[in-house]
Amino acid sequence: MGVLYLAKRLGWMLFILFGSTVVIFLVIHVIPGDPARAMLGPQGTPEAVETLRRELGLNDPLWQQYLIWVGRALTGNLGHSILLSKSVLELLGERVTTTLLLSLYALILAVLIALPISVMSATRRNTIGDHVGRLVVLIGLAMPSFWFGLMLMLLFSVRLGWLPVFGYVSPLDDLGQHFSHMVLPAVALGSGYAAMIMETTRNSLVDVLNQDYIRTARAGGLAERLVLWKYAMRNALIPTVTVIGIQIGYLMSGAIVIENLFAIPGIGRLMVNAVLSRDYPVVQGTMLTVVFVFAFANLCVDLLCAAIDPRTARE
Amino acid sequence: MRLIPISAATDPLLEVRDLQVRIPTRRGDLLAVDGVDLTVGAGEIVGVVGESGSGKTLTAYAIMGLLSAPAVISRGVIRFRGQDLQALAAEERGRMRGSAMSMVFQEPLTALNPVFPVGTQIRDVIRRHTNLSDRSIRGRILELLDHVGIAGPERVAAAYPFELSGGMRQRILIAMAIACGPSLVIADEPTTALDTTIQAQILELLRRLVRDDGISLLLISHDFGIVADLCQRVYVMYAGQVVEHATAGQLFDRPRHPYTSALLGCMPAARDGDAPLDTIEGTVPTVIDPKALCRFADRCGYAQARCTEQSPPRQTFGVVQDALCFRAAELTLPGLVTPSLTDGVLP
Ligand SMILES: Nc1ncnc2c1ncn2[C@@H]1O[C@H](COP(=O)(O)OP(=O)(O)OP(=O)(O)O)[C@@H](O)[C@H]1O
Ligand SMILES: [Mg+2]
Repeated sequence: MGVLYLAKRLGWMLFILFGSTVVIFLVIHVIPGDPARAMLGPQGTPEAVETLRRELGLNDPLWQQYLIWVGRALTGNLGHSILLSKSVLELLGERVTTTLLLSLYALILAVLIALPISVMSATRRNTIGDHVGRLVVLIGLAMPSFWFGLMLMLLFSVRLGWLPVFGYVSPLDDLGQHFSHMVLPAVALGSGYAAMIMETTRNSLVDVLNQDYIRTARAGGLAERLVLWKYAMRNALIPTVTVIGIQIGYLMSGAIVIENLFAIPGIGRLMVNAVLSRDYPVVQGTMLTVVFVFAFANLCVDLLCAAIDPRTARE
Repeated sequence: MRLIPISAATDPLLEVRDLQVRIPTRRGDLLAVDGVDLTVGAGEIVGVVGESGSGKTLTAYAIMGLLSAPAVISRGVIRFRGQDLQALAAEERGRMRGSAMSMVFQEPLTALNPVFPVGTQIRDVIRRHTNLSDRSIRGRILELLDHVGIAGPERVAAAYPFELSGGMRQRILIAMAIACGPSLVIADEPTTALDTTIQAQILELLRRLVRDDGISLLLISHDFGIVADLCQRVYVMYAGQVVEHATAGQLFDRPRHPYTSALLGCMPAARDGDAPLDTIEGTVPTVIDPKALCRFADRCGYAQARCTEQSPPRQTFGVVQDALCFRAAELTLPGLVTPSLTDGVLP
């Protein structure tokens, strides 16, 4: 993998991050209405509003406000929550891990479910197994994760009582409880993702298995196992990894919905609560975090792609 | 130099009898290969010529055991060193592919896996068929690359296919095909995708492998020039059948099937001064419901009524030559007049 390629991807990530900070900053400052007034609500006296405006630096020119804000953010100072007596960074720290764990479980689950089914589907094309697999994909793609989560909750928690209805337990406190709380949210979040991975992998594998180089491998007498899992899979996974990367945004927006449904104290819930209560520093902080995670995940995917496919890195 | 037998009368290395390849389609079963007889003797170079769609590649795939669904062998026997290949278990057949018999494909651009270095792809084949240590395999790969005329084998072995030219890739594929000392190599239009100069080099390489390594070569082509240059015997295929079989010399001097003669008339070398290049009118038919008739009749300049009413007989001439035509004995068909082309034929 070329150093040049790495530098390019890093540069691109920094550019995305820069663009996002501008957007996040402007969203709060350009929307009509006075943030200070909005924060204080109808009871706020004009004096209180003016004091808050000065505190928040709202009277300075916009670019200056932006630079100050970014400068502070870079040193980890994201301001204080207006409602909770905690720094934004503190609030984020507690919740980022939770959201990351939820997304990670969903991703692992999605890959574990999707890969074997897509391989089965592609190698036994047009059999019952293939048709069932593709039907599952269709259902998975059509089902909103919120509704699916709700159904899971009703069935497994309310009706059968096998799993807790909602809430969260840290893995440090009780690992077993942690997982039993995370199973349903992870399934609800991962199902749509699994469907996308399945669809992509099946189609790319079907395509790859018809390629000339697969015939070459067979002409060399290679065992079918090696042909499938090494010679075909490595090629078939290129689109899969790309889709996983493109859809990381989908995973993250899904996490926000699922966290709210299952009352999991993650970034998504923090963000929604902050928006509802107009806690602007927290809103900005959560958005920054999401963007950062997104950019970082995409960088990882790009590097993974380059590791799988030598052509990307050398072009 | 070893003496190469012209005819494969005694115990051929490869013997194909009455091969039929059937491809079920919506409109009915397509007989892409229909009753092909073919032999390759030890150390021989045998050509298969015919237009696009005549069933050459499917014949090769059937021999290699590489037919993929829905195509199946529906009739016939394929014997290799006297052994019936279709009686072998898949595992045994796999062990034979790439070691006893191997294949070089038409498209060097797509025949190599794009995400592995070419050395790795050769290594996997060698590893499959031998117990050599990784160290000796590495040595063997460099030796092979050198043998097929690649300069700087170390560098090339580490390269990915997209970093190599078409000619280089075809050399790699040839190296892969000969890696485990096969006795038969099937080359399916190995030079069609290459520039003329590279073409000549690759053909020279194949000729050298046959001469020095005792490999037998089944060379598929639609180019009579290449076949004339390399092959001792030639099968002419049309619409899934062998319509003529002869030594290269016989074929060019006195073709017995009108199709062979028409193909020879299409060769650039057959041009008489400024006379325009002939082409055969029409296209190769796809045979769904085999009727009792000559499949070439509708494009044939010598066709008579019986040609569309009955299947033509196979008529033999001398030891080697035979043709699938009613009028094979009576017609005197134009062959290839330019003698220079047959000069290159091996003794
Ligand atoms: N998978 C398939 N499904 C349907 N028809 C097929 C399939 N594979 C081959 N055929 C048909 O079988 C016939 C013979 O094909 P084949 O590839 O053997 O021809 P060929 O002589 O090698 O031609 P070319 O010179 O173009 O390589 C053609 O008419 C082709 O359309
Ligand atoms: Mg072909």
